Amino acid sequence: MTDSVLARIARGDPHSVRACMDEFGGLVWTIARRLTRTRADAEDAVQEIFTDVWRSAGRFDPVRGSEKVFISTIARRRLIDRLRRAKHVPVMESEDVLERIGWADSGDRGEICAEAVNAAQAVAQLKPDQQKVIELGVLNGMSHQEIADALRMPLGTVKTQMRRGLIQVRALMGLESRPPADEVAQ
Amino acid sequence: MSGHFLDNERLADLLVQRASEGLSEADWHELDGLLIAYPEADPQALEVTAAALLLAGEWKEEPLPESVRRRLNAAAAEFSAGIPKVSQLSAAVARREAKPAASTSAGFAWFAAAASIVLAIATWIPRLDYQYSGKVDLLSQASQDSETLVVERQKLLASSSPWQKEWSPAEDPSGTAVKGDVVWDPVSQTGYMRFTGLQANDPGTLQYQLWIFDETRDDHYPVDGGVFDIPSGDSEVVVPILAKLPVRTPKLFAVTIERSGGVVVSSRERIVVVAAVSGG
Repeated sequence: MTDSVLARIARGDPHSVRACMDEFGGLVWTIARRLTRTRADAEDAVQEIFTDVWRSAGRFDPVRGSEKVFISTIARRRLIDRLRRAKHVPVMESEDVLERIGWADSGDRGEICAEAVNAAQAVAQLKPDQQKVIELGVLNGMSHQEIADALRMPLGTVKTQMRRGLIQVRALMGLESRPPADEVAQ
Repeated sequence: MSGHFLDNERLADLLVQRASEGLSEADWHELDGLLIAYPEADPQALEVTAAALLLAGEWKEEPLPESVRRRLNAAAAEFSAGIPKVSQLSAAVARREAKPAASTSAGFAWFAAAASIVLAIATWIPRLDYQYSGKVDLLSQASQDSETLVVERQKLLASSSPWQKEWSPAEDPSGTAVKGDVVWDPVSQTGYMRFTGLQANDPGTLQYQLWIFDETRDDHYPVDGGVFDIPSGDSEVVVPILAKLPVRTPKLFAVTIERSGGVVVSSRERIVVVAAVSGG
């Protein structure tokens, strides 16, 4: 079985650092474009994300998930941090207006990874309000307040739907051995 | 604590917040405190779920622009250039700690872990937050005489849950003759460092500082384990560990030399000794 590129980075193979960038550059760039305000932000973020990925390579455990999900988790964390910081910084250039995206048909995501297929199937089982809240928050990078404004929904309801939706998706994906008592039922 | 960690409403709220729009420092502090009651909890569980959901979105992957690729190539070259140095240090640690009877695969896994851990040390950026309070460390160390600390360490060792790991020298020459160990009890969150051969320091100029790398935290932000001194004339010194944040799954303890009073941002120039928890 071929070693994962992250395992090779963790062992200190210098060629694997660039191989990681070749393999996952498009994925990280696309996520960064979705979750930043400007192209310049995205360019800076991609470098931060890859540096973090290379440094964290030793923590990748293939038993817990794919490299794509591991890298996407790091990318989202970095981008969320940047979005939080950006709230306090005035934007000097015009922000990009990106078209909102929705959920793919679960059958279309087979080329991405098994977790994406499972996630698509799980999200399809949520209530429409939960699907919409997660769609705006996770896929489009909107804050809870922005979601509340967009959906004309109380902030507390957005938070509740986000919580119930994420926990239920996790349970439906089989990532939780025992779902918490009151989430899946609701 | 019985029950599923996501049944704790406030804990679930904070983990959802972390996974969806991030946490403030105060929220992080509260989350750390709540997680202590759930040692089996996976604090990244919902972040990973959100990442899988992101991949389920209706978007097409765009190629990395050439201008970004050029920047990344430069960053990759710089990062790769640091790897041999890290590997040499890892190898030195591995030579000292690897057990002859260990299987090849176990030794290899340990080496890989050590490489990534030491890489983390070489690049960490301790967080600028509430965990720093160097003066308290010194008062705590001074308030207990050396005999009491030896006795307290023995008591901790005799209890049911602690583990013990030996120091290995790191890059700084001052660590080459150091022997001793770390004893840490994850339940009581207490521990002691024991040193022989560690040079006495002049507290007015330089002091030692402990950093604890936690599996559940970002490697850039190790927990400050306290500032301490080594007096002259003592053959063996026992120092209490004073972690400023809860330590859930420690993977590496590292001692650095810093300016008097300790630091919040380490220069990373003088790493004296390390004790790896994983695979040791």
